[in-house]
Amino acid sequence: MKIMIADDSGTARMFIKQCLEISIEEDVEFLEAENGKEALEKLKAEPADMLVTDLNMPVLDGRELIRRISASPKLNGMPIMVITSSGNQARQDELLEMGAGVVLRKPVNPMTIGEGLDQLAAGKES
Amino acid sequence: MTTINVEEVAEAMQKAISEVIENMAFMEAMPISNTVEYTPNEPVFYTRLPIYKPYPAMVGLVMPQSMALHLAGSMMMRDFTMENDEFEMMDVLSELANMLGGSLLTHLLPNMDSFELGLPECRVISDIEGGKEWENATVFPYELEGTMFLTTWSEGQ
Repeated sequence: MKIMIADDSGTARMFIKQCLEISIEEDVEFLEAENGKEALEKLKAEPADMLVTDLNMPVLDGRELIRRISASPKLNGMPIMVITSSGNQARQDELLEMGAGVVLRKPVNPMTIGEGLDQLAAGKES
Repeated sequence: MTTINVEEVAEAMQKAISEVIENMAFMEAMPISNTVEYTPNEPVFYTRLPIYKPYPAMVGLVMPQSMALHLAGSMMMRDFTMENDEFEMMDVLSELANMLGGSLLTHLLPNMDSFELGLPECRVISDIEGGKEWENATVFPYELEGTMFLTTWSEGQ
């Protein structure tokens, strides 16, 4: 399984990787990006099975990243998990409408990420 | 300009600090009296996070170097040194401030109103007496494993 993590904080990327490694039983290969533009470029060159993204990033933010992925025939449909400090209900509804599969609020832990993965899997099946 | 009740900020800050520090570093920070003067005898990391919506404000985190090293080590599960890890330390503290700001606003705003955060900035201040950048902010002191640190809140930017 290949997962792209887009977050401008190396600390956040590392912490999210650790949580995902605990929550996912199969081998995971991680791709990383410091902003939405870098994530989009890397995903176009090497599609992933899932995107985990922050919202508040320089250059290209997470909201625009999700919008561009949803508009891309190549990337549209990729499961998207948003992990953000700005995750209130209004923002969550907007992101789900835009194409995110699940929105989690920082700080996360392996349990909340595991629940998020379950929600993503359930959404994919329905 | 909207003025937020200081008691409400203090209560929300306490919840946010508990949530962030306990989740990320598995430690417990306790609020202490704000009449205690903050005079660390070492450099401090000052991290600030702008808030753009629903009103302009600034959240700050002031932490002595030794505590920041310990906290980062606990979060990232390895030893940190100033010689090798100053940049990464700043990233750790920036991410903490980011989570602190998000958690604070989640607890502060009624009805889960929308909010917008800026990008955090972190720097080391060697001489705290040389000018406290947060001197006009409301200060909320905490204690973590016997050492004092501050969170700050100011409206406007």
